[in-house]
Amino acid sequence: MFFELSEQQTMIRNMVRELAEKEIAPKAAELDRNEEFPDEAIKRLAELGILGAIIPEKYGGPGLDTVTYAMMIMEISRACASTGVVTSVHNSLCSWPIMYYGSEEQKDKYLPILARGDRIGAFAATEPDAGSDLGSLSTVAELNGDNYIINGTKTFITSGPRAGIVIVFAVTDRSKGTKGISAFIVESSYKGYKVGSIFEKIGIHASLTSELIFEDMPVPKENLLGKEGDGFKIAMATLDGGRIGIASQAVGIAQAALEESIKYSQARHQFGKPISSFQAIQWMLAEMATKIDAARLLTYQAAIRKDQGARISKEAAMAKLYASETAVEATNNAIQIHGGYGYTREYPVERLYRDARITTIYEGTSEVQKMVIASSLLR
Amino acid sequence: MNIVVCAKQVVDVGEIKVNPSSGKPMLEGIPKKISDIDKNACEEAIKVREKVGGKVTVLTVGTPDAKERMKELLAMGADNGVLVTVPDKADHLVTSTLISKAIQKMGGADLIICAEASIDQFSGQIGPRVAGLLNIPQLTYCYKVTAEPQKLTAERNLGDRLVTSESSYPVLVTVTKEVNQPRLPSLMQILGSAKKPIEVWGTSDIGAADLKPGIETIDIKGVAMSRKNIVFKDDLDESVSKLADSLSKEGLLG
Amino acid sequence: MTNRSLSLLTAYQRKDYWGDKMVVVYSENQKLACEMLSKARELSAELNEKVTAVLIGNGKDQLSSELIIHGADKVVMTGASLSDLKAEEVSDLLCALAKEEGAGLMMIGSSKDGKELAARVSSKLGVGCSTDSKKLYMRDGSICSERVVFSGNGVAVERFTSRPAVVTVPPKAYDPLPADVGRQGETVRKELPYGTYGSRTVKVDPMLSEGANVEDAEKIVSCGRGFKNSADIKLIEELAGALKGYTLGCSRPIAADLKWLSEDHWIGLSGHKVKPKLYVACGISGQVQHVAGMRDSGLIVAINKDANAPIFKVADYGIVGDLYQVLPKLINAIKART
Repeated sequence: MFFELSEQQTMIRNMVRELAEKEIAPKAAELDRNEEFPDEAIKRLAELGILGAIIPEKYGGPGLDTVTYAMMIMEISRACASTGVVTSVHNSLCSWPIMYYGSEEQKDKYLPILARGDRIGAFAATEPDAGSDLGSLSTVAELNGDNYIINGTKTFITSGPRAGIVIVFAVTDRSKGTKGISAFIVESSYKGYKVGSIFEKIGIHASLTSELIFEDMPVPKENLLGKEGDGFKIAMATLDGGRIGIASQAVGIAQAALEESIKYSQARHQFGKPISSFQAIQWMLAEMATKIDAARLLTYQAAIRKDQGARISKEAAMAKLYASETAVEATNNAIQIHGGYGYTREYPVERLYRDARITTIYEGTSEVQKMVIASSLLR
Repeated sequence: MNIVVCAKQVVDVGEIKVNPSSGKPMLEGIPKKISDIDKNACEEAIKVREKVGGKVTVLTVGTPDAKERMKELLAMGADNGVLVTVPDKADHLVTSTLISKAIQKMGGADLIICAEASIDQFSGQIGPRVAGLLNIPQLTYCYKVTAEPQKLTAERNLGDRLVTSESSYPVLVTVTKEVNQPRLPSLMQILGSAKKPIEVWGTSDIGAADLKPGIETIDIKGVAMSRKNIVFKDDLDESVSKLADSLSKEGLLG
Repeated sequence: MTNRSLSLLTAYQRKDYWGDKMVVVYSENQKLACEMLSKARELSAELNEKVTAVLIGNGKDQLSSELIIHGADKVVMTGASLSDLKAEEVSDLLCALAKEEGAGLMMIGSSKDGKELAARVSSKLGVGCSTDSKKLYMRDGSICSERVVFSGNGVAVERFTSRPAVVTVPPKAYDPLPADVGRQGETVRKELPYGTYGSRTVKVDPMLSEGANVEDAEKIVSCGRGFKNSADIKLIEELAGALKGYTLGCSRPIAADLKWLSEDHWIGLSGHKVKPKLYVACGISGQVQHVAGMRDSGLIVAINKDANAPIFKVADYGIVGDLYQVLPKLINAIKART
């Protein structure tokens, strides 16, 4: 099988690349330095339909396939990894579960808002004491008349301070373990919804990450996503798709690191020659390029399988594992190739290095990805 | 108003590498794109249509694969496209004749917009040639265009002066890249462009089967890139004087 | 839209329509016209044709003798009734002249006006045109022209298969012949037909200053760390003023660190990449990151007090010296030559 983008996908790639190169990349360093949310970029992404990329036409989105979506996240992240993850979370972790598990009323109400980018989407599963182990969630939702009353604290929420619509996971029946977890569509305007502390991170500075605190927050019962007890299933399926987004983000970051390295190694002269003529540099570049291609193909494979309707836990985990580890390695090598300059803020590789680091952690650490892969092998 | 935008598919000149042994540019396998300023021409056409109404047709003389690139302009907002298949031997004379004949086959145009030049050749001939063939006015090098139903006003950069001109229709306008910022098509527009028609016409379809070029390109030579490395380092006055003489001889003091 | 023009064209395209009788030279820039006359004389000998210069519009009588002493055999003065020299009408005049007297080669000055005119003339004559011809010569009985293509990556060699060959010639491609005051030539006043067109010139304004668009600039004067403080940049502005039509550039430290200039002046790997005809680097050492932004410049001049500065390796001309001494002298020297 030979993988090639279609004519239409190529046009979309060109458009997104132009946007990324002309409008997103030039501001990436400054937003990173100021830890400033990419409001302008997000607005443009919304105008061009990219923010709601996977939302069907019926609800005001372009209804793109996962391969095209992954390619777009790669292009955006190549310019700014923070903008990449905000877009990925908005699509994969917020819009997608509503598309697949939402009622007709929920879709009619929320998808057009998300497609237009009127509200930013977020996903709130992680808690201070419960990361990938969703079984130990402490946030609870109790039915009281027409509302569920939610209490609890969520942490490491991407876009937390800016989010308007959040998929929140809470325990509705403690006795049932993971089968007692439910998912809710929560609006940031609800009473008792609070943004907690904003984290100071190593990288992806422009994507704001915070706690979300719910204090006796009433959520209309029609905002229950799926049925009571569907939460765990929804979270797992959603994260499978999310991992394609993060794998794509990692590929984008790594690609940027490779391109910067090629450019620098050809321009930088030592001992009377460009450093790209030294084998030590050539080997690094060759390995980076090979691994990035492999990561991209694994990502596209997971995306194709997802579009075919297959279960993609293993493929998505493989793509996310390999792409994120590749991003960390490639950005590390990029700094090495840049030498002293690479360690300074004068060159973008230091930002790429910091941004890449999170990709082996969020939406499941590399170790969790290996658990997922192994469990599917040993089933 | 019937508006025609002339657009050309070119090799991406930024991607051209030079053959290290022959010094010649290597043109095989270079990615192709719509010539940059043609996008400004298309954007201006769309703006005029938004203001005074009408239809925007993208007209390209090119190889069959240009169809794919024309879709970018349809995605931006042009209504339809016509691709005239380029004959084996084509110079500006042939291409502009094909364009003017195609416009006549369309039933004419009120406004024809071209780029001031294509980024590969940068001759700037096509616009004035088409205007000449159709015997209509030409307003070249426009950095601002104001279209009204009965007349068009243009501010033009003629290098040594700025000229404001106006014309009745039909008129041909060539634009510089300062004229606007071409819009990026949205995903919905890209998806929608697949449904917009692009007709493909052969030279015989427009009664131009036997055109002969007036010029043939017999070689593309390389450009010598070595530097002179003449450094004056003795008496300062003498050095300065020698440098000024050299610059004058190079024709760079005018 | 009429079909009249196309039927007219078909008539022009008949090859037997043309005799090769003259080389026609036209530019509103008298200096450029004289430069073209020099080349025209050289080619006319090979083509066995006479050199005819054209003057269009009113009040140009005194220019005629100037053209003759610089090489014209004949000067045709036409279009006396034209007050506005637009390409539409002027192209009609030149076409009519070529039609009446026949022409083998038409050389038009390569200003923007000249280029649009040449293209329109060629279309009406149904012939080829070579824009911005850097070299013009006869080879195997054909007129050939060379011009830069692909953003400076190549030189196209073009051979004319149609007559008259129309070329536009940029300034300073050829040295004018010395004035030969004894030279005799014929001056004729000739009213030639031209059409009426729906366009008109409303207003002409002088050119505004360029601003800091370094990527489009034809001449760039750049400053680097060699300057001791921001006020001294005045020196470089004076040099730039002497060079006319300049744009001010700088290396990374000036824009990114010292912030003496805004980043739109910054030339280098992470700044702007530029391709001017002339690049003057003052007090710039020539780090690869800077050179990557300006290596495609036409001509590079470096001024630096360190003789070992890498900038001299990529320069065409250089002066080793303190820029605070060099610049005032250079400004005077340039002013004296322009």
